[in-house]
Parts: sequence; structure tokens; C-alpha cells
Amino acid sequence: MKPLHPTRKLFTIIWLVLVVMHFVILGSAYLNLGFVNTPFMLTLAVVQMILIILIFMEVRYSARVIWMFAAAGFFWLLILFTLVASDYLTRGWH
Amino acid sequence: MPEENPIVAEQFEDAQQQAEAAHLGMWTFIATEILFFGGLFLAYTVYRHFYFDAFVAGSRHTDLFFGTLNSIILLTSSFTMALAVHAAKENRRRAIPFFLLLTIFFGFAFLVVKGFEYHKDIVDQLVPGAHFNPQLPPAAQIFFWLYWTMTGLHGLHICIGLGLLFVMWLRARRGQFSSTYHTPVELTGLYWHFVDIVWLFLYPLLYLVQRHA
Repeated sequence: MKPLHPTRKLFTIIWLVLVVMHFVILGSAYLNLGFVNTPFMLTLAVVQMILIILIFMEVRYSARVIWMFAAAGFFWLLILFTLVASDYLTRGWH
Repeated sequence: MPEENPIVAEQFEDAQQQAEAAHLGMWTFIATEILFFGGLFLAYTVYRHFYFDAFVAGSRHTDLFFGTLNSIILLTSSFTMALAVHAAKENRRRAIPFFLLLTIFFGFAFLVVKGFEYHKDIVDQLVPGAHFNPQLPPAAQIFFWLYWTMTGLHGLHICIGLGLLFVMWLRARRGQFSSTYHTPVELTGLYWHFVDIVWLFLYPLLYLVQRHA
């Protein structure tokens, strides 16, 4: 069974991980990784976001319906980006 | 005492169902907030696609020290916010206002740092318009329009969050929250963490575009 809510120790670990990840993002900006730079930084930012949502916002310990509502906003955002990209990325004449 | 036995509105079976409904409402609001900021992130993505060089030039004129400092401040404020909710759940009643006050402190610190940064940005002529920095390409004004709008709206959210936190702090000081009733603190926490998440994406997109070149 999952615990009812996270412990102080877990919160502290997550906070430290978030700060360390932040400096990794900052450091990576000074390395020339070609086209990988931005996707790398955004991937780490997404991981940070997931840690905050699951632990700090305690979604991991919440009912399934909360999981669905938490995911819904991002799902609609994905639709927004996909449909707009389907236009701008296919403008071969630009 | 009402805090020991929270008043349950008649449409709910019990306090737990009432709390879950409140959480669901907050997550629905956060979904609208994701799309609210999402529109701006979309505008950023499209303009960056078309004016990449101008975005690189613009990003290099942002102040990385202030930006990074504020990131750490916000991440720490999320940590203290989580501890405030945790204190409520563990019924450590004096710890609740303490951690809320710490969160308020970090929120204010964020705004103060942002104020210094905005001042520097204005002196460096980074406000789009007739007096925009002539050393930057004209399209960098699009980058800075997005910079001011996104960080400005984010700052507005911080101000609203501080207002909520202040009310929670007053209520916590009066001993209104306990392990049996702390939904308002939790919901304020959800809002505060969301505002932190927005910043986590603003930071690499505004401050770190091609810093290595």
C-alpha cells in the first residue's frame, strides 16, 4: 500500500534533486550540444515538473480522478501545440 | 470546535468527499492555467522558429544571475510550502504558520530580485518600442515582448499566491487548521507549486537560448 502522504525526508531529497537538476540545466547551456541543447534542457524541466506534481503536489498519493484532471491540462496543451505545428512545420514554401 | 469537525455541506456524504471535490476543482482551475500560459509558450515557440537569431541575441541580454537566483528561491519556496501542508497533516499546528511565513518570505524575495532585474532591463533599453536597444536586431523586440509578458504574468501569479498565503498564515495563526481540516492550505499549495512549475519552463526558454555560442 502507498503511504498516505510523503515524509519530510522525501520532501528534502526532492528539493535537493530539483536544485541539482537546475544547475545541470544551467551548465548544459554552456556546452555546445548542437540541436540537442534545448530538448535536453526541456526534458530535465519536464522531469522537475513531474517530481513537483507527484511529490510536492502529492498527486502520487491522490485518487485516480485527480491523476486524470492533472493530466488533462497537459493533454489539451499537446493538442494545441500539435495542431499549430502541423501548420507551421509544413510550410515548405516559407 | 469547527476545525476538529469540519462543516460538511449538505451535498457531500462526508468531509473526505468534500475535500476531494475541492481538490478536483483546484486541478480543473490549474488545467485552465496550463492553457492560459500555454498560449504564451505557443507564441514563443512559433516566433522562436521564425526569428531564432533574434531570440539568441535577446536571450543573451537577460540577466542569468538574477534568473538563476530566482529559480533557487522559488524551488525552495515550494519546499517550504510542501512542509507547511505536511505540518498540517501531522497536526503540528505551530509549524503550519512558520512554514507559511517562510514561503511568503521566499515569494517576496523572488519579487525583490525580479524588481532589481527589471530595473537593469529598463536601463539596458530592453523594453520594446521606440527606445529599444539599437544594438539588438529589431525582431529581438518580439523576444522581449514575450519576456515582459510572460515574466509579468508569472509575477502577477506570485502576487496572487502571496495574498492567498497571507490569508492562510492568518488563519493558521488562529489555529484553524489541523490534521482533520487543512484543505485551504493544500489548495494554496497546489497553486503555489503550479506557479513554480511555470518558472521552470520560463527559465531555460528565456535565459538559456544558445548561451554556449
